[in-house]
Amino acid sequence: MKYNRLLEGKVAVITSGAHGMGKHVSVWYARHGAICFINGRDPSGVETGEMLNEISPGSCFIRCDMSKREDVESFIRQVLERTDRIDNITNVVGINRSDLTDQVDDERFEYTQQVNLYGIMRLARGFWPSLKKTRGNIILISTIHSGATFGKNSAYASSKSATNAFARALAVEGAQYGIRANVVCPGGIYSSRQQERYFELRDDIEKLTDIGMRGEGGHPDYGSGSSNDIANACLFLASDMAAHVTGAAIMSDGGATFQSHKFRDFRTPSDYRDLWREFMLDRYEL
Amino acid sequence: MDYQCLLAGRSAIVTGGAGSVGRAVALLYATHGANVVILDEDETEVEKTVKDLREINQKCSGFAGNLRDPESIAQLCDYAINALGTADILVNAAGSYLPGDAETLEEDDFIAMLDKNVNSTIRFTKAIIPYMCDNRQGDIINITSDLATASMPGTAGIAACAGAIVAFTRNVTMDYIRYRVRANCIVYPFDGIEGRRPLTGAPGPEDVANAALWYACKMSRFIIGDMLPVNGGMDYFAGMRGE
Repeated sequence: MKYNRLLEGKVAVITSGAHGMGKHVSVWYARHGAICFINGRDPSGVETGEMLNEISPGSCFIRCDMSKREDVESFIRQVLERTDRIDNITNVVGINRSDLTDQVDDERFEYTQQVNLYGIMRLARGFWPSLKKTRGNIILISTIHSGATFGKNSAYASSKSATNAFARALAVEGAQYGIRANVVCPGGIYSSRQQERYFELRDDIEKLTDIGMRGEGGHPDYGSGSSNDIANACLFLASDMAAHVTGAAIMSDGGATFQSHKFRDFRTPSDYRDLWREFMLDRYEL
Repeated sequence: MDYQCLLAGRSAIVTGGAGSVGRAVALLYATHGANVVILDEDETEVEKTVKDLREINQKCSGFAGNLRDPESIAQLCDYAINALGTADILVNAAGSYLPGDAETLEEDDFIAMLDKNVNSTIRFTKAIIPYMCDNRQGDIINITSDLATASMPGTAGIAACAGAIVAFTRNVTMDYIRYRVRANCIVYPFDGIEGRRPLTGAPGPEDVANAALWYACKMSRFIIGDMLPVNGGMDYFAGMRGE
């Protein structure tokens, strides 16, 4: 296996691949040799498309609103006009329009389900014949809220739990064709803005603590993850490194979900703040 | 990140490194630039694997000893640390499987399985973790049976052992992530147990090795205390297989 070209000769579809986490995923795939078709609502995604095309010729951006059936179907047609094979679908798109339980708005709830769940259902349906031919795989970005969650999150958490169940169903159904389906559940991931802020304050530990460095009560990893971490998880699952991994849900959350009791100041090494800082800096290296 | 050399210069200890899975892990780690020491019971098998490892990296070595005996394990760890200078990665791949349900499982068989699977994992971790804490980094990968999460008849002993290892892995992470020591585990169908598995064909040692590589390198740095099933989706069928 060529580990620096894990997706050589493959074609991948990445939803919401123009910005944020999706951009990281598509850049990772392109660097590993995959031709990437990315979509998004915002036409500015064209810039990311051009960047990907330079890394991996043939890649492009196609405008698409994942909440609309016609848009998704037109996206599928446009992709299939440009390529005769699909090896991977990575569904990054996701929104959260949740309300408190006694105030749930039907439209907002439904919109969340349309984007988070119906979008990937339509994509999987449209690309299924292509995936059968290539023994391809599907990766769904879910969330830790598919398992544990907090308040005012009902629309999001329910749509993402459904996403996990959908992936398991795809795994069972796709197995006879060699199609794999897996889920990545990110925990706290810094957005690009938070990341910038982090680098501005990198030497001011006290301030960093104030703006959200998590203590022992929250996150055993002492911090949030980056989109790179999610991109690397997707890369692993998309490649032959995970040839026998299917139906799995990978918790990429720095351990946020496996804690049971709260704990504080428990055998903390004296240099742990410095460690945390190094760890975070290391994490954002591209 | 150089994906062709994901473990450049790192020191790895692989227990059960002469068995099929441990051997695959050791060879893949060496290919990715790690200095590997394998620890196992059968001297001839250890020598064979070390010979293959040295063709990839001269700095690899291996030692044989009794993996059921605490003193022997402590000695093996001393040898390994002497050979490597330190330890960055510990893979607990040693294990054994003996059949039996709650009634028919022999006492001796159960104790043997506990020693080889659970106790060896805990003892090796205990001996190696101080070096990882001193280095402020470390990756522990425990490899066990996927009977930790779903069952089949006549496997009471190994299922109990696997469950223990999964819980132990989470707890090691909880206690040592403050020193940047991560622990994760991989579960796979032990001893080629055939079962209902959506993907046709059983996973090979190289599939487990790739997962172990992923958990040992920076690709998975935000993933801790997790369990990855490398079993072709064995657990996801509910009841009878549909059309």
